Amino acid sequence: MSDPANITLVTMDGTTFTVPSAYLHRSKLVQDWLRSEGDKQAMEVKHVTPFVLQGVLNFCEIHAEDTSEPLADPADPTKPFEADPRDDAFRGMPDDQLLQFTMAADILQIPELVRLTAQEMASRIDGKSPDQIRAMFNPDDLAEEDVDSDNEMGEVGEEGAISK
Amino acid sequence: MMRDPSHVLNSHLITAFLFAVSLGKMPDPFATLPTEISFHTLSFLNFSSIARASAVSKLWNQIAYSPDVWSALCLDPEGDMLKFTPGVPVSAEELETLSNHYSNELLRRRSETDPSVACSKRMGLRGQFVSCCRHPKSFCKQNLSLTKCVVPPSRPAVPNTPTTFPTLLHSGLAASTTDDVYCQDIQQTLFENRPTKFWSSTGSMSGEVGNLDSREWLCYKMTGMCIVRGVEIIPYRAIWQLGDPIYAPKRIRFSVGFTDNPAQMHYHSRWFDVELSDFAQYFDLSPDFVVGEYLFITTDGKYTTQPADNLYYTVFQCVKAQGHNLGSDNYGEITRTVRKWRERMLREL
Repeated sequence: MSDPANITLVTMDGTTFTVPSAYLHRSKLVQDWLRSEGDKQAMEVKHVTPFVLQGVLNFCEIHAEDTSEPLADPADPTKPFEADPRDDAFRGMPDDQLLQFTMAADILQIPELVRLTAQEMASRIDGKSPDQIRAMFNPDDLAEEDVDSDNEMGEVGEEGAISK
Repeated sequence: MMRDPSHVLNSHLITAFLFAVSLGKMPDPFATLPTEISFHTLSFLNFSSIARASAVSKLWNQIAYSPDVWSALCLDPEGDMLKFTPGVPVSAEELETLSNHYSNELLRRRSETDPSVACSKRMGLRGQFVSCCRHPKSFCKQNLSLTKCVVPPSRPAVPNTPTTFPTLLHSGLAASTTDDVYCQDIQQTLFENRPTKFWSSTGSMSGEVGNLDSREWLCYKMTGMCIVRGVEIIPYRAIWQLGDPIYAPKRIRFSVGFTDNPAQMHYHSRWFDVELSDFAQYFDLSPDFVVGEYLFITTDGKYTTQPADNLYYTVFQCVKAQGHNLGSDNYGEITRTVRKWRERMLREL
């Protein structure tokens, strides 16, 4: 039997992390696991690297004491959301790391972290031209025809009012 | 919302992703992330940024077209569009007072609705607004176009003269008080080119802001279902009286609804300060998306006493509302959404 006060997570390469269970009370994946298979030794989080899991656990630790209402999944983007200075480390990270954290947040089903990373990703897309975005993110399926669909939505003039 | 758990174990994508990272190349986030996270990411953006993102690639284009992306924008567009909101909350007691006073003026039966209940229902209905919208993207497009087409007038150059936009007001229903019911009633404020016509309240002992004695209200029916962008008023200057006094209120608030009873209205603006001036003054309700059939104006405080009786008055020469009547053919999706929402509102009230 594992210690109910702590939980052990194993990443893809076998690295283990043991943290207080309370840290992960916002992770739906962990909560479901605790309910169904909580008697096992350790929970496998196969698709997350140790570096990213460490970061996610830091986030969980910072927010372990938070008493705010759990977010809906997915979070309602229209709810006002104030940047928390404790999360600045997540806002400053390189694009590829941010993407890894977004995926890990989704895998572990932590809506608060999903919102944080998705919003940060959005702010990096915000205000950029299609070319700037392409340079940043290397979209997979660039074909010639994509280029001329540019203006379909960009052009919003008076005629936009009459479309269905 | 139930989620498909299969995306969690999509190891193929994750392997490809880690491979890309190991090569030092930033992978395409929308090719990597589960679609609902991609939607979620885009839903934080404003209209023009979503439009630009949709031009990045085929995949981005597909994702950007999803209604999930637009419905958030439809409820809460940032910056470049009108935004749907119940405005500023008004206390249930205040609404009840207004409502009772209003019903008395109209010699109607008292409203059966408990204002506090109406108030809480109204808040819940905000969420329903989006569910009434079938094509959030068209809604956003039309909203953007509407915001561009209806722009506030520039400041007028001469006093006593309304600006040129067409008014949405159809008729005056009732006013809190009327000094002379034969020639100073609320209908007088609808004339645009007769500067000698006006509505006048009765005199009150106090002109202080917050003193109920200094409050007045006016209720108008609009020309149909209208989006209201702003309201223009011209406080009246009595040129025949000693000192040419202007009888302006100190502040003003606008409420809009589908019924004429202020307690049932779903939108209340903040209080705007009114200048002691006989120039047309325009109060811009944007970025609020304000829609309804009735306009209820509440004024608070009065600047000026009448020399003859030393009592405070509020007098308006003209009142106009600017916006768009949804009866016309344009803005089909907005009209459909608002109609559906109105039905729900009226059922609930």
